[in-house]
Amino acid sequence: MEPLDYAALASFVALVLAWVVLPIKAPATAPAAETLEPAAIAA
Amino acid sequence: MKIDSGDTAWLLISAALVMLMTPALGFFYGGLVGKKNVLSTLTHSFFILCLISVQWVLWGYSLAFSPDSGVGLIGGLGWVALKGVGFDPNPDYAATVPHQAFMAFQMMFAVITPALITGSFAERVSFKAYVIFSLLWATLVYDPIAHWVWGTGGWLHSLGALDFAGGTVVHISSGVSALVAAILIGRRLKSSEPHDATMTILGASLLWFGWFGFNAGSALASGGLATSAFVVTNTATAMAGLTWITVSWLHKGRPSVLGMAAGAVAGLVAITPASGFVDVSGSILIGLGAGSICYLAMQLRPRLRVDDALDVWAVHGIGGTWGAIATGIFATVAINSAGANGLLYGNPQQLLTQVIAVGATWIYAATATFVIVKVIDLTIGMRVKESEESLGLDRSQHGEIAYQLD
Repeated sequence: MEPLDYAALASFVALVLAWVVLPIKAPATAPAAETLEPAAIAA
Repeated sequence: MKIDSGDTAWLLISAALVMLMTPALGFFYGGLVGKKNVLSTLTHSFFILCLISVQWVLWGYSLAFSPDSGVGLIGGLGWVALKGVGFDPNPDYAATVPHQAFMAFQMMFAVITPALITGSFAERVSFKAYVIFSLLWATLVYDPIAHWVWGTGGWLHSLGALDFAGGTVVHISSGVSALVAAILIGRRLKSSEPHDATMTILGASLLWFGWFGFNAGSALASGGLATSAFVVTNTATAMAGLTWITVSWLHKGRPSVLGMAAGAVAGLVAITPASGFVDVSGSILIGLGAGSICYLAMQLRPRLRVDDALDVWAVHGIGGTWGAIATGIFATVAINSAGANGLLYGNPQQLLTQVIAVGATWIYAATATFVIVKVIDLTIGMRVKESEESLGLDRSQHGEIAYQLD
């Protein structure tokens, strides 16, 4: 393998590691339909 | 000269693949605009497919590819209406296919390039102005730059600039012009949220599919070089999509679906000039660069307060620039003996040549676009009235709407 091949491999592995450790931020608010009272939906 | 049936079949199929990219671009852009501007955005691509198809056979191909008129800047008028462009091969361009097959393949590149610009002025430009702009831009910007880089006797071609499938000719020229047009035309009254992300993902998928014709077709033969271009195109695109979604995840806390699509397109753009000159490891690093650099460029838009509505400059201007420069870094004659080695293979001069090609394309495209937009604005006006913009271009320009939901 050449240095360029190692660089390509390392860049892909770095992405895979990022997917393992990165958290997914929770939504700031619940979707609109879930926040409505049933009565409001019926109206 | 003998025509090769395999090469001819591949080139004609590639031309059809590239043709599909222009309506695909319409869907990519169409999903990103508000629902009252969907038809006008689709029309911006579809109309150009019709417009430039006629312009190209009448005079565009002649200006771009006929023998040089003397100083390497423009072709002549000897091939107007395809006079002299027949079914025998032209060895200057493609020695094993009919000259008209090469012309048709190049036509599809000429079609999509002005269509790319339309994303920058979406939702506010009058249909009339867009038509005149597209015709003038294709004639005064695309045709000369295509001649510089690909035409026999073109000055960048003679200088040794490498552009396998259009990093400078297609992407830098359109991306830089998009930025200039967006600055001159001004911001929208109100920017829109993407109205249909699924349409954008479909458009990106079809662009990816068509791009195999764009890049692998540019080998102009159905052999090993086309295969290499196909593989590195797919690899760089995939890597750029992965990189963009990861960078956006790091930056915004979530992996963005639209970001993945934009990243894939940035990867397609960046590998375009390099696709006939780099190996697979080079393509991975080009994709990595495209996904990260273009993402950063897109973050500049709100800070610069330039309403390049669909980020044409960030994806095509910057993606094309990165790809052209990366070609000067990663190119190797082990892939294409007709090319050159880049910086990493002991030839720093090639990187300098690439920088010259990039700089010349930036300067000419920006200047010529500035003049074209100013002239149109001073005569018929570029923008629709405020009331028409508020109503949406679908109704105000075309009298139709995209969705009958009531």
